[in-house]
Amino acid sequence: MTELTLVPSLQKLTPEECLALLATASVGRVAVALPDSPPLVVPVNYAIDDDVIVFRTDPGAKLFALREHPASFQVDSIDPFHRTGWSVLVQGFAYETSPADVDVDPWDSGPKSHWVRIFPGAITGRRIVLPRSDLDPRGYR
Amino acid sequence: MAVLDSRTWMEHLGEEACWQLLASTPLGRIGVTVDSAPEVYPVNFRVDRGTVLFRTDPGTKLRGIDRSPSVCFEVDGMDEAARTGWSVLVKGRAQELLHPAEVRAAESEPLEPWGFGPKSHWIRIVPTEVTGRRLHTRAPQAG
Repeated sequence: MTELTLVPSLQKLTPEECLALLATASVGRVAVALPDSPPLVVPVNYAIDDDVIVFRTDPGAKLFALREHPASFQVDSIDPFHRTGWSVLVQGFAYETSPADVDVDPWDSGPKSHWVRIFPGAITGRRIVLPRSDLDPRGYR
Repeated sequence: MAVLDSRTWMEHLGEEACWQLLASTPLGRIGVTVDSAPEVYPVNFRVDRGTVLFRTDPGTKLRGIDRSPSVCFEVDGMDEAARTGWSVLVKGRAQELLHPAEVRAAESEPLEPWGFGPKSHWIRIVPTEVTGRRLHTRAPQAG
């Protein structure tokens, strides 16, 4: 019998492709490594300003940790039904900066007066792709 | 009882609500520390008797877990149109299932990993802390 199962594969993305994908989303997850404890991962609204991730936050554990420890930023878009999608990871350091020119519009209504930028050291990404089917969209060969 | 922050409209979720949300989601993100920097990868998973269970290949993720088993696991649900969402963060210790009986038990229920590769390693996260937040939208002003 002909094998019809489509096995997805992982494709490495170039940093340029990763940056292009980052610009298509507005919610990502900021991650901070904490010594002797699990990393902290929290979703935030973000924007891209000149290849740098910008988000706003309130004073708290996240901001305190970001000032002291390496940070990462992860964004993905995954279709659970077709099992396809992509995930991008930016690793670098976070700096508190002056308000950016770009519009970052947090969903929650706290003041979020602190602006944070993550300067990328390494940008890596993967895309899950289904191989091209030799069936046409109607399911015929 | 739900605690709603009147300033941000952020609700802190109880542990039971967090587990319900975890069980309702096929996809989460594992956060591991690799060479003192955090890395975050999406994985599909299932909840198994109060733990988080997923499969992985040998690679950065598994190496990170081996060296630094203190991990976190994040799931979220975002509604871009309504500008609301929720997120749950599980902190705990990750351990690879090594006992054949444990692996058999894990394999007795389907969990199809995405992506390429046999994903021959089963990882269980035993939680030490589960927290969650849900963002509520303000009701529109009457009039």
